[in-house]
Amino acid sequence: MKKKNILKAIAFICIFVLIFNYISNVFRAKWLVGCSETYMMEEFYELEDNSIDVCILGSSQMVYGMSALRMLDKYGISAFGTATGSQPMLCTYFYLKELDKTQDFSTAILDISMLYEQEEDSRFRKTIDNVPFSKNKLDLIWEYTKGSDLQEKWENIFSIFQYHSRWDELEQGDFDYENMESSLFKGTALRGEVRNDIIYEDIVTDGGEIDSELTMNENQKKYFVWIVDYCKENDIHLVLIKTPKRSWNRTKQLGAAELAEEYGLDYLDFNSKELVEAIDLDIPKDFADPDHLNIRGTSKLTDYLCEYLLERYEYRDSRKEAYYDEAEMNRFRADFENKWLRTETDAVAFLKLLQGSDYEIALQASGDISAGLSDEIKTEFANIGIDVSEIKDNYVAYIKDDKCEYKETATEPIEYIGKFSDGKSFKLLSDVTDIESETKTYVAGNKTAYAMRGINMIIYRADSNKTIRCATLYVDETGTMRLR
Amino acid sequence: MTFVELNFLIFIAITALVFYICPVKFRWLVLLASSLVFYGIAGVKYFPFIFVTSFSVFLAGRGMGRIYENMDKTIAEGEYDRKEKKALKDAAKKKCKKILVLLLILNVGILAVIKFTRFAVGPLNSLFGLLGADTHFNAAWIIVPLGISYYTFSSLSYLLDVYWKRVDYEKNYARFLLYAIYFPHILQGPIERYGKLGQRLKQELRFDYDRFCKGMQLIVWGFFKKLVIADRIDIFISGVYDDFRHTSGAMFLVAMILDVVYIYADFSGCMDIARGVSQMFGVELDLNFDHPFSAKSVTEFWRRWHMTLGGWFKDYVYYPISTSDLVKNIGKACKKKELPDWLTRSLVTVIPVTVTWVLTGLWHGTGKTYLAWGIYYAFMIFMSVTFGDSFKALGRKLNIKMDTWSFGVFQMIRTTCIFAGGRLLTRPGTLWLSKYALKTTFTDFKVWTLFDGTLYKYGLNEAGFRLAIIAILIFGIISILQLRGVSIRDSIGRQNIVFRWAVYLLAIFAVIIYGIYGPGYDAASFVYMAY
Repeated sequence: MKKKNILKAIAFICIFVLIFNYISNVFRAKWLVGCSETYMMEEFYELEDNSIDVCILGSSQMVYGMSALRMLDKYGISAFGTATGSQPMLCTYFYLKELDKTQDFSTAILDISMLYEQEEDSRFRKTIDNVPFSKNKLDLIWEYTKGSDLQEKWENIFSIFQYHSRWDELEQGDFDYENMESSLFKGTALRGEVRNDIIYEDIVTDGGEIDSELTMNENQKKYFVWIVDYCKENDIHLVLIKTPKRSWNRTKQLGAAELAEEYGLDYLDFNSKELVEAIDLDIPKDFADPDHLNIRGTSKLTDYLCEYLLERYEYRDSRKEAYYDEAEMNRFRADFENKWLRTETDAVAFLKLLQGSDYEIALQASGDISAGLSDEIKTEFANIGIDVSEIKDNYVAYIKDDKCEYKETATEPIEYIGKFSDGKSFKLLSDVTDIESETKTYVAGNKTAYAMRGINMIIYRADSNKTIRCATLYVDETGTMRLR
Repeated sequence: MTFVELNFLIFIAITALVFYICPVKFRWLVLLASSLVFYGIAGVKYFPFIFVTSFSVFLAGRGMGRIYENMDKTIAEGEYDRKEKKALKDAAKKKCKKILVLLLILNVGILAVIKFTRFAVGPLNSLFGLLGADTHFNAAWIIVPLGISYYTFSSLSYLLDVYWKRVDYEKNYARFLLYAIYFPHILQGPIERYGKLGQRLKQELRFDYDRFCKGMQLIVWGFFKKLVIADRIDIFISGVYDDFRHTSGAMFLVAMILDVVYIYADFSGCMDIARGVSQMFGVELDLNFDHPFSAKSVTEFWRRWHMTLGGWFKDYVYYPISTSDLVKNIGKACKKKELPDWLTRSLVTVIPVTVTWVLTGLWHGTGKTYLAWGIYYAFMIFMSVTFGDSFKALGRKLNIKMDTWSFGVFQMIRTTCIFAGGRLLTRPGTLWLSKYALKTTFTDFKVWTLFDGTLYKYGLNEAGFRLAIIAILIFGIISILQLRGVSIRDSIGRQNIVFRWAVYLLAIFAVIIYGIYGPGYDAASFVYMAY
C-alpha cells in the first residue's frame, strides 16, 4: 500500500472516530434530574487533582443525605459524592477506584442500603454510559457482563449501539447539557421539600421484628467486600453508615452491624434511636420523602459525621487551599438559603428569614384576615413593610429590601402587573368576592400557586431569576395560623 | 454470528489484518481458517454435516475425475476406432453415474431429512394414528446446520459439473472445503459454482487499495438497505400481520407493498455485505440481483432475482428434465399427432416448469405455504411461456402500443404485483392468513385508515415512517441510476476528497444512527439465512 493511501486511511479513521465520539456523546441518554449521574460525572472529571479528602459513596440516600459543600464550608473538609440513585455496589467500587486515580483521599463514607437491594441493569448503564473510556471502565463492563456474549460487551463499550434509536427524541439537553443548570454540589444535593407525614416509628428500627427470610443480595455483598479490600489495601478509612429512611428495618440493621463487625469497620446506623436522638432529627420536618432527608436533615447528618470524622482523623483545612472555589461556595450558600426557606414550616421563622434577605415578595390577599394573626406575626410582617391591618377587602403589595415598594387596597377587584428587579413580570389579582376559584398570582404569565384564602406570596430571587417559594399564610378551621 | 452483529465486523477486521499480513501464497489458508472459525462460532455441532458433504463430494469428484483421466489416457495411448472409443467413454460415464447417483442420494438425502422431517412428522403421525398404529415420530432432535442449502447446492453443482466434464476435479481437499465453506457466502449465498469461485480462490489474492475501499463501500450500502430500510419496515409489516384481526384492508395493502421492498432490501443488502466482504479479500462473488423490479415479465424477473439460485435450478433441474427422454418423447408424440403448437409447447413445458418451481418453493421452505408458492410460480411461468405470444397477439389486435415507456412501466408493475402475490402466500405464515389479508383488502379497505394515524399504530411511528420513505427513495434513485449504467461508487470516487469523504461518512453514520439494531431492538434476522 502506498504511503499516501496509508495516510489517507489514517486521516479518514481519525475523522470517523471524532464524529463517532461526538455522536455517541449526543445520543447517550442523559440523566439531568434527580440524582443526575450525568452532572455528577461532569463534576467528577473536572475535579482538581488531590483536592478531595473524603469520598462519599452509596446510593441516592447519600446524594441527599450528606452535603459535601457544607462539610467544606463549615468544617474545611473537602469531600466529593459519587453516589447515585440505587447505585449497585459494583459501580460504587468502580467510582472508588476511578476517584482514586486522581485523588488522595483518606476516608470513604459508604451508605450500605444497597446490600439489601437488587441490582438493576439500568443503574449500570447510567454509570457506564457517562464514563470515558478507561481500563476501569472496561473492568466494570467485563464484570457486569460476565457470562454474556461478546456482543453485549461491545454494546456497553459503545453506547451508540444502545441509544442510536433516540434520533427522533433528541432535545436541547442532549447537545448542551454542560451548560444546563445542575443542583449538584460536589456530587451531593440539597432537597427543598418537606414530607410531614413521616412518624418516629417509620424511621427508628430499634425493637422492630426480625424477618428471618430477608437476606443480603449476594452480588452486592461480593462487591461490598471488594470495596472493603480496596480500602484496606490503599489505607483508606472506610466508615459505614445507614442514613435514616423508612424502608430500613431491624433485620437489615442487625445484618449490616454484623457485617461491619466481621470486617472490623465503624458503622453508624442513623435509624437507631441513639443516633436519631444524637443528631436531633425532627422527623416530620427533616425528610423530603420517606427515604431521603431534606436540607434540614442533611445538615444535621453532615454536621454529626464531620464532628465524628474530625474526632478520629486529621484533615487539612481545604478552605485555605488553592483549589477552594469561592464562586461555587457562594452558589451553594444561595442554594442553601433558598431551600432552607422552602422547607420552613413555621410562619414566624419564615417571615424572619425574609428579613434582610435578597428576596423580593409579591403579595396578594383578599378579605380581612387580621383577626387570625398573632401579634408576633403582625410584627414580623411590619418588619418587611406590611401593615396587615390595611388588608381588608382587596389588597396587593410588592416588597423589596424589607420595604413596601407598592401597595394597593380597594373595595373593587384589583389586577396589578409589576416587575421584579430583574425585569421579569408578575401579576397579582385580588377579588374578595371570588377568592378560591382561580389562581391569583402569576410570574411571567405562568400560574404560581393555587388560590387560597389568606396571604399569598411569591418569594422571588432576582440574582438567579427564580421563584423560590409560593407561600400562603392562612388560618385553619381551629383558628391556628398555618404556613403552606 | 450474523452479518449485522458488531462481532462480525470485528471478525472481518481481524481476518483482514491477518490475511494481508500473511504471505500471498498462504492467504487462502487464512480464508479457510477464518471460515472454519466463523462456522465453528455458529456451532461446532454443525461441523460433521459440512465435513460429510464436502469430503464425500470431494472424494466423489476425485473418483470421477480419475475415471475420466484414465479413460482419456487409455484412449490416447491405444489405437481405438470410434466405436471402441465410445464404448470406453460410455463405460467411464456409467461408472461415474453410479458415483454421482450415490452421492446425490447421500447429500440430497441429508438435506431432505434435515429440512423435511419436521414438516413430515405431523402428517405421518396422523396417518399412523388413522391406521390405528401406536407410533409417534418426533423431530425435535433435528438440527439445521448453518447454510446447509447453500453449501449442499454449491457442492452438488461441483459434482454435476465434474460428471458433465465442465470443470476439472479438485485435487486438494482443503481447497475444496474453502470453496464450500467460504464464510462470506455460507450464510445466504450466492450459490457459487466451483468453476468460478473455486478458481477465483486459487488466484493470487493481493492487496488492492481501491478494491478494498470499494468492498467497504458495498458493505455500508448493504447495511443501509438491511438495517435502515428492511428492518425498519419489517416492524410495520410484522405488526400488521400479528394484529391482523384489527387490521383494515388498506393496512394490509400497505404491508403487501412494503413487503416487496422489505424482501428486496433485506436480501440484496445481505448480498452486498457478502460481496463487499469478499471484495476486501480480493475475491469477487457472483451478482445475485440485477434490478429485478425492472423486469417486464415473470421469467425475466427470475433471471434478475436470486440469480445464482435460479441459474442453479435452470442448469441442474430444468435443463436436464427438459432434455430428458421423457420430455423428448412427449414432444415427438405431440408432433406425431399433429397437435397445435401451443398445446405441444404446453405439454413439453409443464413437467420441467412444475418440477423446477415446486423444488424451488421447497428449497425456500417446507410448509404448505412454500408448496403453494412453488405451484403459484409454476403456473405463472407456464402461462407466460405457453401463452406469451398469444397475449402479445391479443395486444396487437387491441391496438396496444407495446413499445411505449408507459407500457413498460405497466409491465414492471404487473411483474411486481405477481411477485407481491407470491410473497403474500408465504409472508403471513399461513395460507389462511394470506387468504384473510387478500379478502380484507377487497372487502374491508377503510381508506381513511391511511390518513387518521392508524398507520402509525403498528410499531413504526410517524418519524420512522418518514425516515423509511426517504431511505426507500434513496434506494430507488440509486437503483434507477445503476440501471442506466451509472456506477455510483465510481462516480463518487471521481469527486474531490472532501465531498467524497463527506458522502462516505454520511452513509456510515446514517447506518449507525438510523439502523435498526442493538439491544433496543430485536433486529430481524436476514430472511434468507434460514435456508
